[in-house]
Amino acid sequence: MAIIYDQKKLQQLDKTFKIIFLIGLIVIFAVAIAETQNYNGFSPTASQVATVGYIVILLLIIAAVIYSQFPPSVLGKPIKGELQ
Amino acid sequence: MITFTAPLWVGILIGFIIGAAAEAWGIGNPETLIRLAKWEDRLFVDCILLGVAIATPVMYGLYAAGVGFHWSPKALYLIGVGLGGLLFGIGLAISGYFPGSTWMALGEGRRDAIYAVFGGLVGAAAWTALFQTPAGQWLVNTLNFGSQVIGATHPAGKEYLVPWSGLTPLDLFIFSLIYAGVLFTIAYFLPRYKGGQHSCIRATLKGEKISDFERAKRLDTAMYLTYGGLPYDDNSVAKKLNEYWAVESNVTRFYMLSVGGIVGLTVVAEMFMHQIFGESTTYSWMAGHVFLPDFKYSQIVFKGIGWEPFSDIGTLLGSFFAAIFLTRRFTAFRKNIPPSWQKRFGDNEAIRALGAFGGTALMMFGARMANGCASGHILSGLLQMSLSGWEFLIMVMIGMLVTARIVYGER
Repeated sequence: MAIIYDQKKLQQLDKTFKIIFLIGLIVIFAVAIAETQNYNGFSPTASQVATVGYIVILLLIIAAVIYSQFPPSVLGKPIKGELQ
Repeated sequence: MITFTAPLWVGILIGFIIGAAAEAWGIGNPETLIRLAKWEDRLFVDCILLGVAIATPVMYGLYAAGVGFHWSPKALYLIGVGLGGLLFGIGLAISGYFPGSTWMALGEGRRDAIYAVFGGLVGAAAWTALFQTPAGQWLVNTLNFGSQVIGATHPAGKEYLVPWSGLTPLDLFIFSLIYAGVLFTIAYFLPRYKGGQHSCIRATLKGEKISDFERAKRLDTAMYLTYGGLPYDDNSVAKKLNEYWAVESNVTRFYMLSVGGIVGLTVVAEMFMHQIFGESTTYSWMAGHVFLPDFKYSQIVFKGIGWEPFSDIGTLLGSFFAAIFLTRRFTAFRKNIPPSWQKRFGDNEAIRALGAFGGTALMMFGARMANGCASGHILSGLLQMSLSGWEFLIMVMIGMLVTARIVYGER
C-alpha cells in the first residue's frame, strides 16, 4: 500500500482509527457482558470467546490497512530509506 | 471469610490493564526478551520482582484480615516442572516470546507474532497428545508434592490455605513482608543494563549522574522499541514513554514502580474475583477445540480454564490500545526483525518466521508440561510464594541463558 506523507491526511486517518477502536472496544465489552452476564459456568464456551475474538481480529485488520499507509518511524520520526 | 466471584467478562478488563502496562514497559517486543536471555537488559526480571514485592504483602495481609482468594499455586511435580521450565527457557531465548507476550506483540502489529501464535498452538497440541501417554503421566506424577507455598499447602479448588503446623495466616503475612523485602532488594541492587556502572541503590544514595554508557543503552533501547512504529510529536506522551520512562535504567523510579504496582495489584484483584493470571492454558484450550477435542488433557482444560481466554483477549486489546494511543509502537504487520536476531541470522524473513514458530512451539510445550508459564508460574506463582513457581523460574533462567549464549554469542 502506498505511503502517505501529507500530515493532514495522516492525522485524519489516525483520528479515524482511534474512533473506530474506541467504538470497537465498547462493542467488545457490550457483547462480552451480554454473552456472560447470566452465565453461571466457571469456564467460557468456545462461541462466547469467538464472538469477541472476531471483533478483535477485525480491528487488527482495519488498523493494519490504515497504518500501513503511514511512513514507518523510529523515535517518532520517519525512517529515511527502506525499512530494513 | 469474604469471598466473591466476578462474571467472566471482567477477565477482559483485567487482561486489558496488564496488557497495556506490559506493552508500555516494552515486553511485547521480542527483542526485549532476547536481550533478557542474553542478560543484556534485565527489565523483565526487575518488573516481576517489583510487581511481586508490592503485591504479595497486600494479598497476604488481606488474607490474614479474612479475605478469601482463588488461590492456585501450581503443583510441585519436580521432574515435569523442571524439564518444562528448561524447554520454556530454550524456546523463549530462540523466539523472543512467552505466551502472554505473543498476544501483546499481536496488539503491537508485529508480523512475527502471527508465526509465534501458530507455533504456540502446535506446542500446546503436542503436550495434549503426550499427556495421556505413560511418559506424560510419569512427568506429572513423579515426585509430585502438591500445591505448596512458603508456609502453607493449598487444597485444590479452595479459597483458603492450610498453614504448615503451628503457623497462622498472620505468620504467612510476616513471611510475605520478608519475602517482599528480599525481592525488592534484588531489584534495587541489580543494574538493568549489562555493563551499567551502578545499581539503583548507589545511584539513589550517591546521586550519581547517568553515565555515557547508560545514556547510549537508553537510546538504543528506545530505538528498537519504536522502530517501524508510528510518528509522534516532541511534546507527546509517546516521547516521554519511549525515550525516558520505559528505558529508565533505575527501575526503582516512579514510573517503573507504579507500573509494577499496577500489574501486581491487578493480579491480586483477579485472584480475589476469579482466578490467578495465566496466559498459556488458552493455547491448550484452542488446540483442544480445533484439533484434539476428545483428548484427556483437552477435557481437563475445558472444565478448569476459567476466564483465561477472555483475559488473553484483554491482554491483546490492552497492548493494542497502548500501541495506538500511548506508545505509538504499532508496526502495521510490516517486516520488522528483532536486531539481535538480524545480527545473528540476517534479515531473511522466512528464517525469522521459522525461529518464531519453532521457538514458541518449544516454549509452549514446556509451559504446558510445567502447567504454567511466565504469567501462571512466575508472576502469579511468585506472588503466591509458590515453590513450583520458583523451581520453574530457576530452570527457565538456566535454559534461557545457556541457549542465548549458544545462539546469539559472539562469533
